[in-house]
Amino acid sequence: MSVSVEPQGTAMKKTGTETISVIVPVTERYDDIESMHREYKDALAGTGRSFEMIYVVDGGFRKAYLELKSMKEKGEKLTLVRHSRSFGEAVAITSGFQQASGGIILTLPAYHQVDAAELPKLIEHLDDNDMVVARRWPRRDSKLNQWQTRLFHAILRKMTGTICNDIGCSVRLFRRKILEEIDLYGDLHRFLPILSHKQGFRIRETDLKQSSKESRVRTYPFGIYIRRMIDLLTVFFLIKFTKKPLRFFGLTGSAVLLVGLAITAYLVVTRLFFDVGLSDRPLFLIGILFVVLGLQIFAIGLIGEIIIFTHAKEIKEYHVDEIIN
Amino acid sequence: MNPELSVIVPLYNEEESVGPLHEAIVGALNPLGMEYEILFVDDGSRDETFRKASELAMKDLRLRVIKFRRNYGQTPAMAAGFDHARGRILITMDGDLQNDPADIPKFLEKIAEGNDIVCGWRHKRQDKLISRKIPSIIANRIIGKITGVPIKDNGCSLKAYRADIIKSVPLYSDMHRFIPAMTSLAGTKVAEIKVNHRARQFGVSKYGISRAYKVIIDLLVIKTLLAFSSKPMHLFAAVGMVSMVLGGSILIVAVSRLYPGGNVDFMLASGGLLFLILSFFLLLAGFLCELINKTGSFRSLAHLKITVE
Repeated sequence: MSVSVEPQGTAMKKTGTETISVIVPVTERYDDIESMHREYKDALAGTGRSFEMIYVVDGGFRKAYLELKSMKEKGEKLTLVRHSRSFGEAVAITSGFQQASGGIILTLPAYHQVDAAELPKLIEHLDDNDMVVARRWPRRDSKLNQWQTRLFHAILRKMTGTICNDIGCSVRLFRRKILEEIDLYGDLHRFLPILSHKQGFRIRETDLKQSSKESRVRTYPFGIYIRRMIDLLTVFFLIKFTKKPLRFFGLTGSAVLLVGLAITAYLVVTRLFFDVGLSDRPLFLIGILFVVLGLQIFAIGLIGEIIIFTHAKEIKEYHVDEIIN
Repeated sequence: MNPELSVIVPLYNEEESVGPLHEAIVGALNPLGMEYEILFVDDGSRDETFRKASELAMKDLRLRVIKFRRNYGQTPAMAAGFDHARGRILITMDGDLQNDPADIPKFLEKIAEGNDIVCGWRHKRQDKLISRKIPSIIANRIIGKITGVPIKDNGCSLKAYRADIIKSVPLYSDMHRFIPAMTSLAGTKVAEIKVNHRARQFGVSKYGISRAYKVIIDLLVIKTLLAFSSKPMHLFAAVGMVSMVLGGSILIVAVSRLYPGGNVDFMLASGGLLFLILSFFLLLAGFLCELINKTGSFRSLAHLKITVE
C-alpha cells in the first residue's frame, strides 16, 4: 500500500493523552468538505479540548483531494493522507490512525450524518467507557426504512449481546487502545463496536440528532437488504461460529436430518402398508436430500469444532484488564 | 521461587465474600507450611469485588488479582487462573464460600498419593432438593455414563490438579465441567473425595437450570471428541460406509427392477446416488479431520500420556 502523507504543522500536535484525533475517511460519498470541516471544527473547538483533524482520501477522489489541499494551503490545520488507490473505509481509518497522535480517536463521515453541534455530547459520555457510539435519533427516514433498521439491529443485538442500534452511523469516539488491538480490514469498520465488545471494551451508545442535511435516497434500494444479510453472516462468523461451531451446526444439522428421516419414514410406511409406489413420489427424493444435507451440516460442524478444539490453547477467550501483584 | 501450590478462585459480584474467603484460605494453608499463592480472577464484576480484592492484595503479596475487562463466564475465568498460576499443584474453588478451604489439605494428600486430578463431592449438598439436587444427580449420572469417567459431582468447583496436566487441556466455552473427562484423553488418574458444602451466605446463585441445554450439547461434543481423539477417520468412515452400502443397495434394487418398458426407476436410482455422494463427502471430511488432527494438540495430549509416569 502506498500512502502519501502531508503532515500538519506541529503547533497543534499536543501529545497529551487527551488530545482528540479526528479521522475523516473520504470515500465515494462526500459532501462539501470545506463546510463540513468548519462545522466539525467549530463543534470540537467549543469543548475546549485540543484536537487534530486527519483526512484520509481513499483513492482518486480528485475533487475532494484538491479541495482539502487548497484548504491546507490556505493555512487550515489538517493532516492529509491519500491512498494511491481505493482500499476501502476500514483501511482508510487504519492509515488515519497511524497519523493520529491523540489518546482519543473520533471517526466522522465526510458527509452529513449527525448534527455536528451535538458532537460534544459524545465526549461527555466517554467517561470511563472505552467507546461511545452515536445513534442517529430521532430518525427522519421513511417508516419502511425505520422498521427494517429496527428489525436488523434487533437480530444483531440478539446475536452479539451488544447494545447497538445504528451500526451504519460512523460517528464513533473511542480510546486509542481499541485500534491498537483490533485489526480493521475489508468491511469491518462497520462492526467496530461489536468487535470492541468482543474484546471486552466498555461501550455506550448516545443519541445524536440526525443531520437535517443528510441527503440520501429516503427509501433504501433492494440492494441494502442483501447487504444486511451479508452483514449478519459476517457477524455470525466473527462472533458465534468461532466459539462453538457444533452447538449451531449440530442443532441445524440434526433438525434437517430429522425432517428428512420423517419424510422418508412416512413414505416407507405408505409404500409398505398402503402400497403407494415410491417411484412416483418426488417427495422421496426431497426426504433423502434432507437426510444427506443434515449429515453434511453436522460433519462440517464437527470439523469446525475439531479445529477449535485443537487450537483452543492458542485462542484466548478472555481479555485481562489488570493484574495486581 | 515458584510456589508449590496455587489456589484459583473465580469471582463474579462477590464483594461480601472476598474478605472472609481470603481469610479462610490463608487460615487453611498457613499451618501446612508450604509455599503457596492465591489467584482471584475478577470476572468483570460490577460491584466492589475488584477494589476489595486489590486492597487485600496490597497487604498480602501471595494474593494476585486478575481483572477481566468484562464478564466472560466461569470457564474463561478458570482458564485465566490456570494460565497465570505458577504452582505445581493447582486448586480451584468457588468464590461464594460454598466450598470450605479447610478441605484443601485432603486434596493435597490425594495428589501426593499419585492422583492427577482430585474432584470434590458435595455429599451433603445444601441446596434445594427439587430444583438443584435432583437435576444435578441425574445430570452427573448421564455425564458419567457418556464420558466414561464416573464422577458423582461434576458441578463441584473444588478440585485439585497437577499443573502440567491441566495446562495442556484445551479449555473453552463451558468446558470446565468436563475437565476430568477431557484429561482422560491423557490417561490421567482421577480421584474423588467428600467435601463440606455450606449454603450460600451472600449474594445469589449465578447459574440456573437454563444451562442444561448447553451442558447436553457440550457433552455430545466432548463425547464425539473423545471418541475421535485417536482415530478421527473412523467415525466418518463408519458412517460413510453405512451410507455407501445403503446407496449401493438402493441403486441395485432400482436398476434390477426394470419397468415393463425397460426403464430404470429414476426416483430410487437418484436416491441411491445421493447416498453414494454422501459417503464420498464423509470420506473427504474424514481426511480433512485427519489433517487437522496431525497439526493439533491431540498429539500433545497423547504425548502427555507417556510422560506422566
